[in-house]
Amino acid sequence: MISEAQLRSIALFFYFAFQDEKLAEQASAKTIARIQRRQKEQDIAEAEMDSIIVSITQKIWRNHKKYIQNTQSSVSAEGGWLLDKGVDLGPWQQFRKETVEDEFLVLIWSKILKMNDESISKGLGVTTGTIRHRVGRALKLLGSTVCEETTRG
Amino acid sequence: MAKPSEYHPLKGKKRHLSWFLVEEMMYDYVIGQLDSGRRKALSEYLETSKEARDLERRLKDAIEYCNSLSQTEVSEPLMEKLVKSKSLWNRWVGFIAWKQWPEATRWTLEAFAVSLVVAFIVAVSWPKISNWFPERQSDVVLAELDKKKAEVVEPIVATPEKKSSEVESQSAAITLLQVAENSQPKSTLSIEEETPVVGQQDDVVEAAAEEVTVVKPAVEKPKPKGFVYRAFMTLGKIEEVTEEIRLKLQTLGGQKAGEVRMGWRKPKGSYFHFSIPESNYDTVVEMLRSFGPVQIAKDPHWRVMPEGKIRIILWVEDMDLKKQNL
Repeated sequence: MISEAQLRSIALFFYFAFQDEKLAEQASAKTIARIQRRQKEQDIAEAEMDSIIVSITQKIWRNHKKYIQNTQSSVSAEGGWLLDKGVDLGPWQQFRKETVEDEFLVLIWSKILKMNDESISKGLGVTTGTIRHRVGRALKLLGSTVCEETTRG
Repeated sequence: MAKPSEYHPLKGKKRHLSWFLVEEMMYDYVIGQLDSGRRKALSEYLETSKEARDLERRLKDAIEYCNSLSQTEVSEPLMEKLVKSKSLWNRWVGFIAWKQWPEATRWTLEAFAVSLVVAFIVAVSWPKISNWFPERQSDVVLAELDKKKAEVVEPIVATPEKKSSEVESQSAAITLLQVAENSQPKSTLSIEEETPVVGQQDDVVEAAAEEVTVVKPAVEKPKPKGFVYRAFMTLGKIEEVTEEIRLKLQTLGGQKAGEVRMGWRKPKGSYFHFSIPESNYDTVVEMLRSFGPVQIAKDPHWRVMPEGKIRIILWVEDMDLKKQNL
């Protein structure tokens, strides 16, 4: 069974990855179904769930990214995702446009979903050093956009 | 980037950090995962470099921003919707409970479905596939045979030098000729042993000239332009009668018109094929009647005789032999 925290992680991943509520909903449902199917087929340890979630969410992302209509987001206040009060998605959307796919996906897993580097590296099949390098580069770019937005504001 | 536990402690002289190393280590510095030696070096670098401090601030702002994003909640209705959501295929599979079916039944249905797909593909693409196979003609073309053509028998010249056995062996062919002459008076092809006469050449030339302008089919029957008299008699003492008739025909200007001589002896009679001047026709008829009754018929024939000449085929049946057979 998938825990509520894991369900939330999956939903948040696609929400920030697609910035499209409908697409995020579809991708989340598919990911959950696939994980449940895998749990029925084989016994998955709790410690391995994070890496499996990383692996499957990456695959689903690659299958669905072609359906992203445009670079602008399709999120609303009536959606099921409830942002913290005062949080602006502007810097994130700007960051999505400017960064590369590998870096911003890793940033979501590492800094938004709070997964450890070992789980992410195992799920992607790369070294932890690569993960940390990508996170550092992504944070540097995200920091720049945050500063710009702050300056404009 | 190595873990802090994997870092080797700095030894020896104090190393000057490059900007590249600063960039690489800054993330670990911010999250507190740098060993003490490098941390100290980087701290000193930060005191002297505004650019490094800007980099540090950007990283910290980004991490703080990500922390605020991580506070995003997912509503309960959405969570339930995500958990219960199934694709159309999964819903259908769950409805029919495919996996609960017996294995033999599943295999049978899958094989049937595959065979249907293959049959459909073959049926749709059959016009292209059929071109790969050599064409087999369903029609069998037989040799064209004109049934109305009689067998053409090579003319047999009965000469005195020929042995009797040879003559007798050729009698069957001659019989065939006689039967054909009697039964097919209008046969378009001559079955007699005939040789083209001189006068016929002009006709042939005229016919060829006509053919130049007129297109004729391949097996066209020549239209009869001439005629022939066919006479029939039944007389006894066939040998004597044959010789006598032959001599008298010669005196009346009779000449053989075919390959065999006048009065050619056959087992059942004598065969006369001759031409005479047309003016002697009545005389010839009277002469024949002096021997006995004679039946004469005039039939059209493709062979055209020269002007003033007629052609007669006379068959004298052996009466004695006929009586013996009766």
